[in-house]
Amino acid sequence: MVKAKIASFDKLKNVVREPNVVELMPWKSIHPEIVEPMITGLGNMEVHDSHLAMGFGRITRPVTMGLPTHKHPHDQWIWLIGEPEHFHEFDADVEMTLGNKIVKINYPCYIFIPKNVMHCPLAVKRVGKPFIFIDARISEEASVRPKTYKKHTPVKYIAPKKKK
Amino acid sequence: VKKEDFMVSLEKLKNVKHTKNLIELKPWKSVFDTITSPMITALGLKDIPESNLSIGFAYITKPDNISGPSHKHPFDQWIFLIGTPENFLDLDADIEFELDKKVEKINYPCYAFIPKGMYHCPLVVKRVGKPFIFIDARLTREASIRPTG
Repeated sequence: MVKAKIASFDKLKNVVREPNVVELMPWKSIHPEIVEPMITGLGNMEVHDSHLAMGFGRITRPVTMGLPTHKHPHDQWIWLIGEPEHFHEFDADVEMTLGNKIVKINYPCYIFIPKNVMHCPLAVKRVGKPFIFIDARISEEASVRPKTYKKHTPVKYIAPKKKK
Repeated sequence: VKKEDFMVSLEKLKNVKHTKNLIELKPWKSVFDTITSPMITALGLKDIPESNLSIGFAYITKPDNISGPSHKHPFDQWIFLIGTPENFLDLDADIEFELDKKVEKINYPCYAFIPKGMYHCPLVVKRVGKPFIFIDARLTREASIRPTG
């Protein structure tokens, strides 16, 4: 089977299959250390009102991402988690600049990067086991700071067929 | 250590705050019998004030109805259905997801955007050729804005 050429991020076009359902297409990381295809939901670039953009990569070897140190007017989150059978198992050493600190990470986590906070690089120093890297960001308009939040009902899942 | 010994229910989940903006994710046990691997979830405001995004991750290996009945809520939500990390594009499963009273048949890696106020679910995994990743992401209602009307 001929392997299809994978687009660079700037040429990525996902496919809107239904009004709110988007098929994710592959793109090639700018980092040669990231060999498997990346996928990214492009937020309101592809679906009106959809303020969340989210990208996924598989990290298998040391790599430094996000240079130079920068900031932006929207909120961002980075997830560093294990592979799916054991999301909570993370065997790697990572250093991330956040504000004026370098945080050292060797556990499954996420990092909240508030708008206008300087951050990066994110340096993966050692990879014991491959892991998942996720970059999520919301639009500038959605990066709100209300004085108070309405009370949110906690997430509750119901298993209709759960065995007693 | 048995899985049951370290996996709590979602109600009892407490992630660990290492610094103001850095949260260690702890495992919890799905309410669905078919989801046996530990789940992890970022709890949004419960973890960090001003962090308007909550996201949960599950590993799906068997068919099941992994949702409640049709419902709606006043915040935006996204569901991602993607392959495992060796190839996120390789989604080998048949899924039926009711969105805005229409059943969408999904057999490709995707995300579904569920705008606030839109009826959605059930989400039924009919067939699993290869295990895959299910992600449930939701914003606070305050961040679920519509600047262009």
